[in-house]
Amino acid sequence: MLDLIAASAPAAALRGSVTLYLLVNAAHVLGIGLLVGAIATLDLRLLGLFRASALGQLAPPLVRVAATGLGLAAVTGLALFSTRPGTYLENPAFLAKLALLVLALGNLALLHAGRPWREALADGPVGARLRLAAAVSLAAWLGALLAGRWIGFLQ
Amino acid sequence: MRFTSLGRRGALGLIGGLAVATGARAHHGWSWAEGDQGTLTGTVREVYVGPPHPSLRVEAEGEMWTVELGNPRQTARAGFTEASLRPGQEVVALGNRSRDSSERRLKAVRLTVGNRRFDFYPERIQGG
Repeated sequence: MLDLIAASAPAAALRGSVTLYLLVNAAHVLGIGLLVGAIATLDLRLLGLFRASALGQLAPPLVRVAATGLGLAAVTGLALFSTRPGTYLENPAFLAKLALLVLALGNLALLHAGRPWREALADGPVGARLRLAAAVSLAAWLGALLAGRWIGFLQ
Repeated sequence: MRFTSLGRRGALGLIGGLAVATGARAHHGWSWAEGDQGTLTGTVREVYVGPPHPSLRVEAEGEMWTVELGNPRQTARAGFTEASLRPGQEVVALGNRSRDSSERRLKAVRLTVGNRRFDFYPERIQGG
């Protein structure tokens, strides 16, 4: 399975071209930038900063930018992973990053599914549950970023 | 550990190892590696030729080493490709190992596979 991924056309193309690798790598960084920038702003709003801006106004564009960044980071991340999947799966920093992503995405799903989020979007109060989710979100995404940056130093 | 030093090591390497944080300078430059060269002989487990940095994983006496080759362009110039070496083959890597003696990492200047040689840093090969 891992050999099949490594032998796939995109993986071979990335291994064969420094320019292509650089572009995909840069797009991965851009995706992370959009994602973390938008999510951090939203999390900080939930935690009590930027109160002058209504959450109902602020949240929709931030969520859209974050989702776009997440999509870009996921696609480019999979492509980079495909160049040597076996090695990544043995890399402790990569595994830590995956665990933090699962935590961040699980937290995100719980947050968005609940009634508190819909009430807050309608400019209702931001309760303790939302503030906790925002704090977990900030920590998990920043942790994933740190773990991701560490990958290259372990292989 | 099967790493045979060709020159002086000991105290100098120990001091360097304490001074340099583990893994904090992966790939770039030579400052993280010892000045003296040695050889590592082992069985190839992985061959990676591509960006950001071509490298091998080599098993020697039950320990897994990372052997860094040249950058992609230098590696191509040395005539080394993914087809040059297969997992399972024996390889001899000449190069500078990490000053951090707990880290099994070698920056190779030359690989020898059977009777073929690949020189990644011809100007750095000591006594060569």
